[in-house]
Amino acid sequence: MHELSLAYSAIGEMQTILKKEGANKVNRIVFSVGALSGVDQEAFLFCFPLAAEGTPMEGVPLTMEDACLNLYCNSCNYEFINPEPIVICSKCQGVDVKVLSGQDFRIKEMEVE
Amino acid sequence: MCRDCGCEEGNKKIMDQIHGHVHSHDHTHSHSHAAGHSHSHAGENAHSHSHDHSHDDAHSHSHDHSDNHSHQPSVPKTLQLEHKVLARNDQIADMNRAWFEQRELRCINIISSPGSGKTMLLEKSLDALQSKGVHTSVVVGDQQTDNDARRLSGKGAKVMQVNTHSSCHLNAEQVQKVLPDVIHEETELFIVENVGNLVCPAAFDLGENCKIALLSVTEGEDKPLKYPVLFATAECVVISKIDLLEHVDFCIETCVQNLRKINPKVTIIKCSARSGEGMDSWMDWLLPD
Ligand SMILES: Nc1nc2c(ncn2[C@@H]2O[C@H](COP(=O)(O)OP(=O)(O)OP(=O)(O)O)[C@@H](O)[C@H]2O)c(=O)[nH]1
Ligand SMILES: [Mg+2]
Ligand SMILES: [Zn+2]
Repeated sequence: MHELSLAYSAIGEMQTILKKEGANKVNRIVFSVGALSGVDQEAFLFCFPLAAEGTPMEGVPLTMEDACLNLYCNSCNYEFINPEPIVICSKCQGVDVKVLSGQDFRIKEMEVE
Repeated sequence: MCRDCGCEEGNKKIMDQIHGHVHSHDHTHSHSHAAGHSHSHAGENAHSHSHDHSHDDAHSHSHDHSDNHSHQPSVPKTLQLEHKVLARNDQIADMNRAWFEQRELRCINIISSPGSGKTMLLEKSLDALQSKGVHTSVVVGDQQTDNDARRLSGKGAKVMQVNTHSSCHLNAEQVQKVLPDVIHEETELFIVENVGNLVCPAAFDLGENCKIALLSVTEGEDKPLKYPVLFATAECVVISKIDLLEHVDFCIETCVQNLRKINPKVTIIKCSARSGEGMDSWMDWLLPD
């Protein structure tokens, strides 16, 4: 189950961030879930408390934000957002399209003290 | 518990870890109810008010300790991070990639559902690679057993099995650990057969030069639409077991259309490791130039 791996990775990264910031309390966490990140949000939310146990992240409210695919068409220089994971230009139907964002699962924001 | 990943859930979900339930909200501002019933507004700098205990002019500090005074109330601050959850895996993957580049070897990561024919394709490929004199190393990931490594042994390639136990994918660190053992000076091609799973392995960069997805004709032509993540990031998709086409209702044209929708630039190769049909195109792709 890769959502459990993701939860442990997220906790590890956040521990590092807390250390760097000299903070030891977390009030809220915002995750950004790319349309092409392959994250099952329900499964992640199920796993997170297991990974967070005994850390400052235990019991902290989580917000999951969907991040759409942000695409750029090299043929017609059109930048656009696609809510579906379909990598075709919505203007010229071109296929020479670059993914600018929407592939990652990120810790977007943390409120710490 | 490795669930099929579909990302088309609600726009925003708030999880209350204490109460263990999930709310879906379509609007941008959402309220998350924590134990202390505090409202947090996504996108805003919540609690950005400065604390009232700042020093009066009359009270000048002469000591020079920096910041973290335990007797001072701590001020919550919002960190704008955009930090990748898999940052550490990606770092190790980059190290692997640099290692491959230094040795001028090509690494491919083969991913598919269990039983799509990864090992059989590799059995045939290793025979061909051996006769062409291409030095190849292989790492096979499975939760348990070394069956696949045994099937691939004795074909001139250096083969290692990695057991991932409960984990449904290989990660960059597991690959990094075995590199010194499986790769030798002459290795030109390094093939990773990932754990059979259509979803999870796609999220973990191993440092490969490209991902290859297998899709057998017994799985249905809608798989690229159902599991877009792998098919969107694969450089090449092998439609496997085409010797079985006459026995199944699988429309290759529809499958190709679905693949192109998700990944317009993908190379599509139709082949059967069993009959040998299409194996030439596959070998040509595997050994460019
Ligand atoms: N008819 C036919 N059967 C095939 C072909 N390739 C593989 N098979 C059969 O499909 C089954 C699974 O093949 P494997 O090569 O073990 O598949 P795999 O993807 O490595 O499976 P895992 O490693 O368990 O995920 C075996 O019974 C193979 O004999 C093919 O081209 N045609
Ligand atoms: Mg196999
Ligand atoms: Zn365009």
